[in-house]
Amino acid sequence: MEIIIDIDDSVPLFAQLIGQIKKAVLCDKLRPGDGLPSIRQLANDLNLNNKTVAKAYRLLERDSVIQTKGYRGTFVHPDAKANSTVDLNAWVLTKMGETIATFRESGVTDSEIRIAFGDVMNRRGN
Amino acid sequence: MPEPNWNFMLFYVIFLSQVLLISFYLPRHVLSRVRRVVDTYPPSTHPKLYPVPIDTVEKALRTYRNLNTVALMAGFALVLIGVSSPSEEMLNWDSQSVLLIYFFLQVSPVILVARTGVKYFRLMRNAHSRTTRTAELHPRRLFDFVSPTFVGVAILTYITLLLLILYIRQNPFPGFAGYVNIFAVTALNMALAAIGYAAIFAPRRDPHQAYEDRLRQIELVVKTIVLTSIAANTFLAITFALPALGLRDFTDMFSMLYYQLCAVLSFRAFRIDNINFEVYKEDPSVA
Repeated sequence: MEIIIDIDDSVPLFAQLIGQIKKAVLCDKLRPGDGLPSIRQLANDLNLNNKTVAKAYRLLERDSVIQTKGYRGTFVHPDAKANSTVDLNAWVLTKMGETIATFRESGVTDSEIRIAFGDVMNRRGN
Repeated sequence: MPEPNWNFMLFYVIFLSQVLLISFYLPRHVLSRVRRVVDTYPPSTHPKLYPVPIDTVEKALRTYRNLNTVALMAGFALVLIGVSSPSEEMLNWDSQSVLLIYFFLQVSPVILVARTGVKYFRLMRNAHSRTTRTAELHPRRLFDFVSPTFVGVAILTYITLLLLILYIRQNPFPGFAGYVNIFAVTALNMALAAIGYAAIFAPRRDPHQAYEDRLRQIELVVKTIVLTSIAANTFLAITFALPALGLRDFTDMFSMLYYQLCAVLSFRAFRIDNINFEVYKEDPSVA
């Protein structure tokens, strides 16, 4: 299974990687339990920074599309196909849109929403 | 009538075989393989294979041939001087040192080719200015390319060598370097391991190379590295054992056989007959 990335594309490189791996899973080109290249191998083959590939792998692992089994390597998750259809970014945008719409209907200004959002995020970070 | 010195004769027969193998037979095969590629896949049909003008390639081949001729002549001269000299040591000096220096002279054309190869691939990468990059989503692991048994044998020869060094150190022969040998042997094996690791995981040098070719090349390099490690550990073990057993005279002959083995192993890694040359054709979109 070949992966192709375009360095001139407006889509970030890590997002291209995530998209292509999910696509490969959905097309059955990658099946549950299949091994994936190590971060260093893929970064070297694509001439990318290790951190870019590591970020893509981290997000794919969070979405349960892949799983890391220590020194044995990285493998496709048993539920990868079902999990590849879930787009967390789209879900966040929908939920945020609905919440912000509710605030606006209640008369909260955009400035107050931004300050509240920042406060909540900062509190969560602390 | 004086009795013939069989050791002396055997020494020069083995040396002559080293001269002919490394400076004549193997270079002739390398040149014929490259010539066949240049003739079968010329710049007109396979432009991506030539990041430099064909004259530059021809010049590099000429230099390679000339350096080998120099090494061949030097080898013949050493044989002539040796057989006509009353001394049993080469050039009335120390045969071991002369053999080592001569071996470096013999491999100097190979080092030159390797350096030229690095430059060649760099130019190839510079000329390959695509915005898309591709990779296979398949992990590469050491044991995909070499059997665990083979690696196990290499580790076993290394451990045996270490134990032998420790044993000889208890009753060392004159000139035995002791613990320095352990350091040198470990450094050698680590260097080989690093080359093997780079072959598997480092970025590909040839941007046009087909993935199947790359896998084949990695397998060849990794197997050669493991074989070299086994050969080097065995060679060093025998080189330490022979003086300890009072058979120092055979060390030089054994060194020459080892050099020849190294040359054959290096030559084995130089395969260009099973490469997919279609990838070096002009892009249809450009044409």
